[in-house]
Amino acid sequence: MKALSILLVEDDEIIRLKFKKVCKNLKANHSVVEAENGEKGLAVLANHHFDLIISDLKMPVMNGITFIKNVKKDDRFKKIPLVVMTTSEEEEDMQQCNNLCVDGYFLKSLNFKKYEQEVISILDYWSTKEKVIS
Amino acid sequence: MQVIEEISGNDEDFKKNLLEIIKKEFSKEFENYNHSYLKKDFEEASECVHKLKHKISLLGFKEELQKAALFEKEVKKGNLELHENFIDTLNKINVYLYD
Repeated sequence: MKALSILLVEDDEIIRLKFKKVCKNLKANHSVVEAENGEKGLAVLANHHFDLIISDLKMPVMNGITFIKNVKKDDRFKKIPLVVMTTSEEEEDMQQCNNLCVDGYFLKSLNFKKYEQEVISILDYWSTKEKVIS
Repeated sequence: MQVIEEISGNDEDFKKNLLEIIKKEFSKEFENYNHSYLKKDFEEASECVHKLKHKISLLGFKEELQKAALFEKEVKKGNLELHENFIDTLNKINVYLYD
């Protein structure tokens, strides 16, 4: 498994902590940079290279949809795989993400075991895909 | 604390961090909920319930979690029937966390 450099855009500190724990347990040396909203995510993107972006949708200051729009219209970032992890099951959110061509839309489970499996499957997929590309 | 124990495994640092964040955010989110309720901003109140639901889940209050999930949907429509029940849950958690 190739180690990924991941940007996690998520306002919930507990979910950020859980995400890092899952990565730590994987021992794949994935590196995680956290941003607590879309605005901070864009600022971080400008200064680092990432293999994968995982973003929430409902966040203060700049929400996920606005963040994704900004990423997708910027030539520097638009090719970075972007996966949404949200608790939103709203049709409108799913449709907007689909229109913005995100690379995945996952419902975040409150159950840690399920959440862990979701994260592992996402990271497994993208680390393998990276391998194929490179 | 069974859920937190399960998530933490033997990782005491993680457990400590998790509990610190829960305590810090719970008080803030409880206050935010009350504020939204008082100004009758039900969309915002529903978002607060959503955030608090995560803490209720982590602390292992299963029955209360189901009620909070229902209240999250209902309060968005302006239905406040479960408000008192939700406040009771939050007060119970407050005692659980700080006593």
